[in-house]
Amino acid sequence: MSLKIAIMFFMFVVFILLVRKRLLNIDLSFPWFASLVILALASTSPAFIQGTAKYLGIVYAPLVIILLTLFILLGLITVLGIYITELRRRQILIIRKLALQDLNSQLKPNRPKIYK
Amino acid sequence: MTEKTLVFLPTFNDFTELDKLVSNIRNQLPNCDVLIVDDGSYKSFMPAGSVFHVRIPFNLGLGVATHIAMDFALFNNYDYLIRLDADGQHNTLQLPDFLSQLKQDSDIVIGNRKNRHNSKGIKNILKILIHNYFYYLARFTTSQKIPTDLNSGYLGFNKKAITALNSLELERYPEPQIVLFGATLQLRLGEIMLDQKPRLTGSSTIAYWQTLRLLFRFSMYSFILVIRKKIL
Repeated sequence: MSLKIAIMFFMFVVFILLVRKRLLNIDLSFPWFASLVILALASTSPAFIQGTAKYLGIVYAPLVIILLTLFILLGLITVLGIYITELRRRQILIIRKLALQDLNSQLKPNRPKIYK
Repeated sequence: MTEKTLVFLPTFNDFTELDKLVSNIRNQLPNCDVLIVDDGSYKSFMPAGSVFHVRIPFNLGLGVATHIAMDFALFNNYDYLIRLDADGQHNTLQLPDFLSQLKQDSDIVIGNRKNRHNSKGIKNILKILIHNYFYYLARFTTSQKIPTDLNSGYLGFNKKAITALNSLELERYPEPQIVLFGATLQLRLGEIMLDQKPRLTGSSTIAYWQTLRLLFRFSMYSFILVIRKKIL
């Protein structure tokens, strides 16, 4: 039990350091935080594991943690995918705006006719 | 009022024949403007002649380059936009045909490459299968007659088509998407039969694994359109 708590504590410290050093954006840190809390609760509470295993019909109860971890990883990938999609969309909008400005500046009457 | 035409050349490392191509375009359409969008070529270049030129600092795909051309066309009130590839495969002699068809009875004109399956080998067989897949899937999705060549980069648009398509998000290789959305948005699709010339410069940017991605994307678009039609 003390080893589990030590591991959880270590993971929380790493998480806090990542956020503090701005290696992990604070907007994106919530899914990580929530995942750590869920895993911490799950791995330190045998009653929760047993209850979930019974509910889901899993014979070997510790497999619940693996299942939970897989769901959390899928969720994190989805959240990151949504974030990256939105970033890409904004990147493209900025590029389009800049390109239009660049092209419209070439419309000015005194622009050089020949580019070399 | 004189109608304005913009000829758009997206380029990615295809700049060696550009000056000759621009000169050929001007011979066919003396009053048009030419826009070159450099989609992150490894070396930057400045085209000679009076052309509009913009360089995207990194490669973002033909969809973004097409959006840039459409943004420029709409902002400056161009009536027609014609796109052709900068690698010399598209014959500039047919530019007046594109323009006249756009003026008459089409919102989007596709240059149907008659000789696109003339090469030999497994690559050609795969190309035929993929092109047929796109065509039949698009037919099924839109339930209407559409041009057979959905991957042609020789395209013409009028203002109505530019406005409609620019409101969508075009993908990295947007040609099949353009035809699919054009048909779904009830735009008039026309086609001109033409022969594709051998590539003068550069190489195809579509590698095998990108073909798989293209297949996946197009299938997803079609699936979503079908679901929307059935449910909404």
